[in-house]
Formats: sequence, C-alpha cells, structure tokens
Amino acid sequence: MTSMNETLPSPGILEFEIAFEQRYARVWFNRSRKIIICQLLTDYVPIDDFKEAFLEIGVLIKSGGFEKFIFDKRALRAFHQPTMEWYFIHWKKEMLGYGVKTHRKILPEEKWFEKMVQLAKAQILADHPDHIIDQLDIAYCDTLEAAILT
Amino acid sequence: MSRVVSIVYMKTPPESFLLFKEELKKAQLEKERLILHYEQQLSEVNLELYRLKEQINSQQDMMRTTLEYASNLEIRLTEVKEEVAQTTSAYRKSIY
Repeated sequence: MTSMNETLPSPGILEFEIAFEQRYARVWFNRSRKIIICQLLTDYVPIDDFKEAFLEIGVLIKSGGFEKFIFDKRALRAFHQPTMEWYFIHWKKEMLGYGVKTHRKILPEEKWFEKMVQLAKAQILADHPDHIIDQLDIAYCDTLEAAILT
Repeated sequence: MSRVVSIVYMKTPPESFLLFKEELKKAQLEKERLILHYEQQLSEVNLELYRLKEQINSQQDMMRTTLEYASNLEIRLTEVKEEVAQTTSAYRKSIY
C-alpha cells in the first residue's frame, strides 16, 4: 500500500492510499475524507480502457462512504466525445445514487483544452436535457491540494 | 532366416533416425511456440492501432469543433461590425 505523502507534502492532504493503478490511470482514496482521486497518466485514454477504470472506481464508490470525486486530467491532450458523454451522463448519475455529489476537476493548463471541454459539455447537456448537473457540486481547481481542501 | 533379420531391422530403427525424429518434434514445438508468440504480438499491435485510430479520430473531432467555433466567431464578428456600421451611419444621418 502506497501513501501520497511523498508526492503531496502539505499536512492537510496526507494518508491517501492507492486503490489501483493501470496503464491509463492511478486511483487514490481516503475514507475518512470521503474522497476518491483519479489521476489520468496519458495524453489520451481509449473509451474501453476509460470505462474499465471507471467501472472499477464505481465498485470502490459502491463500497460506501465516499462523497467527493477528484478528476485530475492534466495529462490529457485529447478527449473522446462519446467517452466524455458516458462519464458525464451515465457514470456521474449512477455515482450520485451512491452519494458522490461533489466533483472537482483539474484540467491541463492549455486554455484551448478548457474551451474544448466547455464546448463539448455544452453539446452533451443540450443532447441530454434530463442530465443531473444541477444536483452536483462541480468546480475546477488548479492543484490537487485545492481540490482536496475545497 | 533373412525374413527374421528383416523384421528385427524394422523393429529397431537406426539411432540417427530416432535423433532426427526427436529434432523434428522439437522443431515442430518451436514452430508452434513461435506462431503463438507472433499471433500474440500481432494482436497487441492491432489493439494499439485501434487505440491510436480512436485517438486520431478524437483529435480530428476536436479540430473540427475548434474550426466550427472559430468560424462562428468570425460570422458573429462580421455581423457585429455590420451592426456598428449601420448604427454609426444612422446616427450621422440623424445629425446632418
């Protein structure tokens, strides 16, 4: 079991443990803080691998006790619209049923990527008027520390 | 007598033949192993190609969205310029 202490030295964010790690993602959790962190590791994640990772995160969430999900997408340089749609519409909705209503996202620094995400999100919301975005607390952060503490 | 000798000879093939048979068996096993290895590598390459194709498609989609966005901005900018020109023109007419 690995601790985040080496990479995140701030006193308030210690004691995260690795749930699992695969080629495309590393997942951390802290039960006392009720937080799960998913850190993407590559510039692109194919949809099948993305679903595999998020279904595994889903199993962890379903074990109970988690309220916040932090998605660190800083490694990404391209995203797949159907993947984003599945994550945004289906996965988040299902996880809301298990108590995860707080989402913190960390995007790459590139402004064009942020704009692309905004455009894609707007399109997804327009295509799915029954979305649950109003029931979620979503915010963008610059660092993991900020995402954990806000 | 010669018939008996012949039968005995058939029952015990020469050592070189046995060695050859053994080598042949080893070669066949090695061939099967190499085929499996090759098929596994080919499968991995195909999977990676599939992933790269998906990534390229995604990047193309993002470029298309970017160009559509830029194009819409350009159209909107032209409209605003025309509106400003018309308003300015109407204002001048009202003065003079």
